Amino acid sequence: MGKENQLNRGNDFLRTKGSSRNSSIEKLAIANRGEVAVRIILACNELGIKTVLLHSEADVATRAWRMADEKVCIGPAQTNESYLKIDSNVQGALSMGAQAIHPGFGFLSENADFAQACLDAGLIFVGPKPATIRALGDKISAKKLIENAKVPTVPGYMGGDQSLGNLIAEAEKIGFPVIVKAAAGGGGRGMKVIRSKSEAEELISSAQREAKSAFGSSVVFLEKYLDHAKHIEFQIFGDFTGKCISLFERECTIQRRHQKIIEEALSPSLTDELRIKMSRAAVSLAEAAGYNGAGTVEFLLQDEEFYFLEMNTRLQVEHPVTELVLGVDLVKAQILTAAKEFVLWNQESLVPRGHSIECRMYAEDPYNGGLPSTGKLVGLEWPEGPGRRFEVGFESGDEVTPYYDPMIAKIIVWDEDRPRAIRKMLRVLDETIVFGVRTNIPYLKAILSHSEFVHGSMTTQFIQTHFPDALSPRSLTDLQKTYAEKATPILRGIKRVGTELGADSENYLNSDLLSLQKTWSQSWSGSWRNV
Amino acid sequence: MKKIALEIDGKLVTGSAAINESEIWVHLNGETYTVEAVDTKLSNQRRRKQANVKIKSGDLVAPMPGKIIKLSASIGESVKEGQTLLVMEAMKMEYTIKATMNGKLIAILVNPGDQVALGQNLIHIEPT
Repeated sequence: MGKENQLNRGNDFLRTKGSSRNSSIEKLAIANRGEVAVRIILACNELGIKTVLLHSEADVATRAWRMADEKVCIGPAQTNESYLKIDSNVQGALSMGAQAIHPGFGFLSENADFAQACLDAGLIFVGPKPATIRALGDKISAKKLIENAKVPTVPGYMGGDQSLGNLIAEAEKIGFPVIVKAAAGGGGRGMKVIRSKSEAEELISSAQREAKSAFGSSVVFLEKYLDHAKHIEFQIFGDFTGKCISLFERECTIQRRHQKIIEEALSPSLTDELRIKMSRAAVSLAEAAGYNGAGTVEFLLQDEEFYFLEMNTRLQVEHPVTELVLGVDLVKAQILTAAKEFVLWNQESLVPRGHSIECRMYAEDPYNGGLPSTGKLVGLEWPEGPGRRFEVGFESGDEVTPYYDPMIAKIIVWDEDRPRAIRKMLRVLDETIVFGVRTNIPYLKAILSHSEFVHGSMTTQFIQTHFPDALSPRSLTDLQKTYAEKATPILRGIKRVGTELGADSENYLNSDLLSLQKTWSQSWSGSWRNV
Repeated sequence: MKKIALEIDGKLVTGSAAINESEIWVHLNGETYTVEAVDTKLSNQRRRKQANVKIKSGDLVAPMPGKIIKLSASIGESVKEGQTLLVMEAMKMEYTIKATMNGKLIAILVNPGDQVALGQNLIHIEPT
């Protein structure tokens, strides 16, 4: 039988040890919240692993809390008294008999002390070794590692002299525009762009304060600001033997104040040649660091040159777009790697197909400068369908509180090519319903419709150039006002006398359903029995 | 949330709607919007008239719950529209509160370190 009768299936997952039984981890604790906690719970459910949610007082009555098999309250709403407390998380996991702990992203996920504390307590940490996190997680030491590996970096200052005077002088040396960043964390916090010497002092001290508040350390570093670059990041994965492969890239150029809003896989801006070069750079860095599990190497691409930005030693928010173009489950792979039960996918079998886009849905008012919006959700509807995926942390009736990141859900689509994926996302955003808090959906739609985004030629200046202010507020149309007025008594449950089609059909449906239900219960209660 | 079909101007219009105390939320033709329920608007107006509460335009209030980090202006100072007056922190980001008009800063009602609630009075400017 010749090769022409065989299909290349790429079923490397079957090489996983013990694929016929459940994982050796019986119980896993989740040190996180919101939609990523739900994501981890789903992976554990499918692997037959019991879940323990380590949550704050403000996250009772949320989707993850209801889905978890067990839950432990580890502190009050404020993150530095709950989600950022190493001891509370470790003790919470141990108290429920968990064997492993998954830190999600943000919070303690890139905290080497936390990873070490887990190992010291006998817990399996779903992530790389503490030494690896330490070497790569601090932006300053990571950059030095990269320099030794001869991967190009952005000119900057990463020295220990954190005095304002010195930092201002170093910024001048680099040449404005210069960006100041927190050494101990990412996600846009503690990050400011300085365009001239006159604003350097105010912005540097502001960045130091934000960094201290978000990550516990005010140490900052400076970099030349590339002002027409694209943000391209490579997903890498290492198994427990330290071998690493590339799962290709994501483009995350659409950012507001360095917080990502829209991400996609693959990037419309890479040639295969660049893709291979950047993949190799990402993988060799990961292997040099002895990486295991999921990690992401971030680059800036400007004028066909790429520069290392940082490496994130954790799962990323935008991992779903990679999963959809490759047909993989990164969270399951993470857990199985931590349990030493997963050997890597074969690089040749990972062939990306189609295009995937993710939109981060924020509870904020797009007509008021993105001001965070909080409140009780009184309605949620996700337009499910093929190639549509929703990562959601809340359900109708839950309260969106002001204590945490305002990202309340992620909306992801897949389609055959980028133009189709964009059209599909616009349709999904049209059909998504969130009642109770304002969302950035109008903002997302405006971005996705912009010609520069559609062409794929956007740079990191996109938001600043095309959406610098809030969306212009629009007054309600007469139709919108009339509809709301006429819907009010129906919503209040007041029966309307009249010939309005809506009122009548609402009542008609209700009474008809009620009588049908009565019929069902009458006929079933007699014949139902256990089998 | 209910799916409600209404006849408006002779046409059938279908959308989704829900009510949250005095707010009506509607999703219609791909857009979500919210209005204060008509039946409560009148009673709120009456209540406001009775309490004689007036929000003067020189009052600057906190746009979200958070913590005051730094005051950048002092009492008695002449301020210009757009001038930074105060820095506060919410959701691990810093927000600058700026003067909405030219005037004289006649009252600062908070101190650095104070936790403030949404809508809480922070600064009063007397317009010039």
